[in-house]
Amino acid sequence: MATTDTDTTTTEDPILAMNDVTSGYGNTTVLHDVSMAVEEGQIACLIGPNGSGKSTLMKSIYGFADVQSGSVTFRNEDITGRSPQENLKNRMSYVLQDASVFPGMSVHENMLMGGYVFDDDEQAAQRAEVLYDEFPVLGDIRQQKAGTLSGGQRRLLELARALMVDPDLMMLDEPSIGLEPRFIDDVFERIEQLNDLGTTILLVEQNAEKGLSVADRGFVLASGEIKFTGTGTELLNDEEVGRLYLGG
Amino acid sequence: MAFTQFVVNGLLIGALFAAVAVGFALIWGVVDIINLAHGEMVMLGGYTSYWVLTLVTGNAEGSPLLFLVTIPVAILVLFGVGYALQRTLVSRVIGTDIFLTLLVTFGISIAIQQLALQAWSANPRSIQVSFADPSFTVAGLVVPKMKLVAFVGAIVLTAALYLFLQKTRTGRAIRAVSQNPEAAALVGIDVEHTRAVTFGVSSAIAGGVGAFIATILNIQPQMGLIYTLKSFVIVVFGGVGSIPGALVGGLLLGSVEELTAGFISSRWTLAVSFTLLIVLLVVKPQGLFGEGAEQ
Repeated sequence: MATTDTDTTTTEDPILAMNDVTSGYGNTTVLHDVSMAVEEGQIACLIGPNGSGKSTLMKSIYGFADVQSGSVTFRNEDITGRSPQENLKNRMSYVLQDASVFPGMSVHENMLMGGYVFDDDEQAAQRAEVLYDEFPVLGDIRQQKAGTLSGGQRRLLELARALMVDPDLMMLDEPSIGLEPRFIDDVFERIEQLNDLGTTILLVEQNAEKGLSVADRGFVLASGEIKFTGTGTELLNDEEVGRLYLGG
Repeated sequence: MAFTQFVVNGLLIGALFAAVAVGFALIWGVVDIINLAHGEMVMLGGYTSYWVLTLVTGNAEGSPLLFLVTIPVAILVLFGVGYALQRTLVSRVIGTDIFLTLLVTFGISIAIQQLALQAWSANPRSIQVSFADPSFTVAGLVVPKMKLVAFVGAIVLTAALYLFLQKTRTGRAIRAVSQNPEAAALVGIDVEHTRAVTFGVSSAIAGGVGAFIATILNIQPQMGLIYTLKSFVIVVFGGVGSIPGALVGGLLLGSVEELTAGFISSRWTLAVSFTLLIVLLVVKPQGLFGEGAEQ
């Protein structure tokens, strides 16, 4: 049975936690007193209607939105308002919802940009080679301009680039958006593989059933507040969640 | 023969226009503003070189080597000026209405002009570089040595910028911000700092070119506007965001202006240039190297 937002921080030692976070952009507030926790090794999925604040929640964690009150912790360290550079060095990475490749650069240059925080091109190049072994399709097209890739290839590139810092936590905003159905399964397969290798995943997914089906923990966000939380299966089977958010 | 001589003259001067325009294009592409104060960076570079040489020799005259030593000084000073301008003023209007960005950079242009007028008066000045023989002749074509030095200097500055953008970590960051600022922030690039560096680098190139211009033309506080206008024409002509486009555009503009001045009248140079620009925009709206051109 899914629970309400009073029980969103259910673990004692989460890898990531939001504590009563109110955030937004400038004078606009989008999230209201949001608390949630993600345990190490989990896949956590955030669902909710359009405009509910899902992307803002991710951006609040990563330093792209203004946290007006409350705190964000990563491995019990306060990271509220930290820059993306600091978060990357802290082995957190983030894949945006919109196309975030550099279209005029080659696949390889895009990969090197993923290791920009290393301050060492050689280290970035070595890491890219490791990832080409895991993503052979990218290795095959490493000299191709990213702007010429298909939607599925771009998504793979974004995923691989986010892995350049060997993240402990990876945040994915709508990984299936804009993809043909045959690529969606590939992307989710990749996400589960990454999780199996030890990367904690926090994903926002408009395709709620797909997202919750792979999630150890799910959160339902509406009007900037966490309305329900539970395991992925619990949320999928919850009548109210189904009626309100899954179209069931 | 006259035609060839005019073309040679045009290419020599056109390289200077191109180098100025490359910086203008870089700011346009990366910071996403049309910098109406870009010409003032040329002017300030010219005066920096002039005053450094005056400080050393007492009369703004010197050997080619001594003059070349002033170029890095002009480049460094203008880098600082550009970086500071972006950080303090331009950054406040990035992402706002285009008219606001035009207004701010126009304001900067006027302010620099007026300060220069107060500081140095409206008197035209120039740097005298002493050559034993100021020109040489090849196949009947006269090549002024200082113009050739300025041409080589401008090409070197443009090539250096291209290599900097392609081969260095900071250059990659600049290209990343140009192509996708949000994704650049995502991978840990300090976007505001990178934009300021871009502004600084572009101003530095303009400053270096300004020093060369001070040796072959006069410099005066209100000279900037013409270089901003020329840069605009060249960048649109070559294709926004394309350095090869700006280089080719600059060389073409220089040749067209020299041919116009030689065969018609120097008063018609800008009119002919803008007419050609309009024709090109009708035929090829993205410019010669626009869209898909390498950044």
